[in-house]
Amino acid sequence: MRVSSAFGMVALCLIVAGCETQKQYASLADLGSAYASALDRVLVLAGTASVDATSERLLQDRDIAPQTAASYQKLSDIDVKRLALIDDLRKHVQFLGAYFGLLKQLAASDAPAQSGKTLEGTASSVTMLGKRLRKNDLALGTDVFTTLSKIAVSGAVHGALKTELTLRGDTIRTELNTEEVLLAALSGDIEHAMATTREIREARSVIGPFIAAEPIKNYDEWIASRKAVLNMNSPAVELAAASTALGKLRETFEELMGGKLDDDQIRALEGDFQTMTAVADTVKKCP
Amino acid sequence: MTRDEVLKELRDLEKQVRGADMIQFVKQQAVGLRGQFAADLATLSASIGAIENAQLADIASRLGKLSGALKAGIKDLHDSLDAVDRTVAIFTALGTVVGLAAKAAGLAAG
Repeated sequence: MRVSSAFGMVALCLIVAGCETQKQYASLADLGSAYASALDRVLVLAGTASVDATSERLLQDRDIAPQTAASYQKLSDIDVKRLALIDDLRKHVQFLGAYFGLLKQLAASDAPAQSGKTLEGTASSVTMLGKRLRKNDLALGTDVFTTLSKIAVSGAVHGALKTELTLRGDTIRTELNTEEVLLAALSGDIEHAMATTREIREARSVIGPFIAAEPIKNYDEWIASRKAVLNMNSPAVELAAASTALGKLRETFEELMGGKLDDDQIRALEGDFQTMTAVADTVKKCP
Repeated sequence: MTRDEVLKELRDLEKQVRGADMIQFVKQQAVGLRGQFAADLATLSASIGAIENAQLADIASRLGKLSGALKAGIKDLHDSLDAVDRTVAIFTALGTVVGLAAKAAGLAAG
């Protein structure tokens, strides 16, 4: 009896530990999806910010001297190329998001992938036997097996996920590392685009009417324009700071692979990606 | 000078030459000079845009090289999930079968 209790305790510990690791895999997969979604928003923002800055540049150039279709095209073509590039990058990021989504599905499954392959061969014979027994018109009694199955499964899913992450670990690390560079570049692009837009727009819609000889047409509109223009830069700076979250995701991923991940890191990163999403949304709302 | 350094220098320059004071000053100059300045501004901005695009294209190309492995990962994960579905079915079937077998054994013994 004592031996069986001890065995039960060990089994319980293993199950609990297995579930914890399983939860961490699921949390990391969630983080990956959250990150992909946040980066997608930043990419959209980068495109919008670039187009807006070009529009302001074009109007400023026109204000200095008469322009031609060629001079318009010269700047507009850059935007067209930028938007095409961003589209490509978004597809790639969505791809990574899909990968993490599948990881999450696998982590959340109640059945083992590897055992699935092992058991596949027995499936038909079991089904045949079931059909034969069913013909006897007997009642079903599956409760015990449902429970036993779940216990066997958790460890095996852990194994399947670990196999996948180990196999693709270096690729995902390189991917995250490359996207760190991407986010840093995007932050620089957005910051410059927004600074340019702010500078030119402030001169055009705030300072211009203010120093003009004729009276300001609508004070409320002028106040609203000024507020919008002056608030333009701060989110871009926050966005640059949020790019460090990507570096942390890569480190977290590496720690998970090394079996040293703690829940605090996961929660901290969740917060970082939420900030990144919120900042991108705030900037997008700027007129 | 690296590409990043060139980009930073050009961005700083654009900030200066597109600044309100500079534009105000240029607007007071002769038409020919203003035309030349506007053309130079456009060239400067286009150069910045081209470097930014080259930077993004470089990153996109690096990510593109990883696409194959990522696609393989997605396929493997789909396979794993299919296997999971099959396993759930197998466990259910197995549970049913054993339950039925136990009943049958009970009936036979009874």
